[in-house]
Amino acid sequence: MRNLWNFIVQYQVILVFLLLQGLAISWFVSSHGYPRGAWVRLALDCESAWQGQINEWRHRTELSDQNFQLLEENARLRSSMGTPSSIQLAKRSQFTAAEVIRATWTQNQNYFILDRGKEQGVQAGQGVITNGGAIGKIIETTNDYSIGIPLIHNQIDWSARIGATGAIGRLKWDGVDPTAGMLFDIPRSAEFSPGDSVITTGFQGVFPPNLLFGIVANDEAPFDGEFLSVPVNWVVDFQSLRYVQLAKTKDANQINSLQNTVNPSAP
Amino acid sequence: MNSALLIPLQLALTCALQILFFQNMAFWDGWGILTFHLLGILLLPLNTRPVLLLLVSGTVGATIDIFAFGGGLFTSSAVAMALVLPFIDRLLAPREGYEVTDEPNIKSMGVQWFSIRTIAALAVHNLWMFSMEAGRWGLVLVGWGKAITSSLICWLLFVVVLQLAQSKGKKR
Repeated sequence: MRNLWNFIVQYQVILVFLLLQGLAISWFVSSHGYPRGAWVRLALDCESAWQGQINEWRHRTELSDQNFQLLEENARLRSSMGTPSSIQLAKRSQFTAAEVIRATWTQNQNYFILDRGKEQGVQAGQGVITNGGAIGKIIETTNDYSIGIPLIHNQIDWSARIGATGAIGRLKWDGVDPTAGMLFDIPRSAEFSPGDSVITTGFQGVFPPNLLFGIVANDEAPFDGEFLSVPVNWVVDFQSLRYVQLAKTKDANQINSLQNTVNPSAP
Repeated sequence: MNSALLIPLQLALTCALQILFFQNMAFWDGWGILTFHLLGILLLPLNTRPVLLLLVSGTVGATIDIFAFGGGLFTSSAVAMALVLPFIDRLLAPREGYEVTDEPNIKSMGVQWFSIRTIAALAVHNLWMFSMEAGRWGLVLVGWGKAITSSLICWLLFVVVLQLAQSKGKKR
């Protein structure tokens, strides 16, 4: 209070000036046609500019909501119907939409966090896809969130196949180029060419089969004397990833228990 | 006459003359507008507190606005002039400062001091007033031209009036 009083005393001249000018200009604007019109025009301009900004924000928010609704719709459709090649996929899998809320894409061992967790039925081990392309898997969940590791993680192998009936190998990222990985253990006799699809096998129980990892790159495939290592370009741009879908294999428990009868230590 | 009575009388007289007489006089198609009420403000004592100067100027301006249908134009301009007037006085102050007996008129301070102070104050008042009245950039330059010519005419009027008043005082 004392500070306020000091302020008023210190700036009393300018405060009185502003007060009197405010009164005088209000009087002037209200009693003269042109300034009143100019003032109304200015006020309307400000009002319309502000409303425009608000509408733009609202529109963007609505677009974001619609985008997510479309993603959920897409997930439902993918779960219930599809092309002949994906009918089997649909039979074995369910899909849930999610949004990436935090992620790293520039480290050797990257991760991403999704806004879906146990409450929404997300479990560790589920595959994460976007627009039909495989991008990673969930490793841990909380009630409302889940954390996953993407293809660009140098400590994990992914089971992949070249084309629908081609050779199967281990897909791994070298930790260097975030746009490409390497498909190891491909027999020298395998037939493939640059541009061929590299797809999921479904053997790990993470992804449904026939989802796209990437395409065979145009680079030369190194030969280690026994197997070829095929360079693969990812189809997904990880840095622009925002909306994803979580694939859940139906009957996963039955399949896992069967697997455990052969190898009890398997996850 | 007692200055406590003289100052309000001086303000009332200049206001009355402006309302009754000078507000109806406009020379050369608006290039010579007279604002005689400002003489009352300019003749206020040099040691008048700035806040009081603002309030008195606002009151004088509002009085003119009410009777001349200025709609706040004279109030705003008079307040603008009152804000600047103490700075003008400080700039024009003698090296040793003003004496207690100094009054802001020709007799006390001389024609040169009075003229510079009056023209500067009137210029601020009229530039503010004509700019507000112009209301748009296209008319502002013409308004400023009118402000300068009106200030000079008004200054001339003030000098003549004060000289006449002083000469009458001497005769008595």
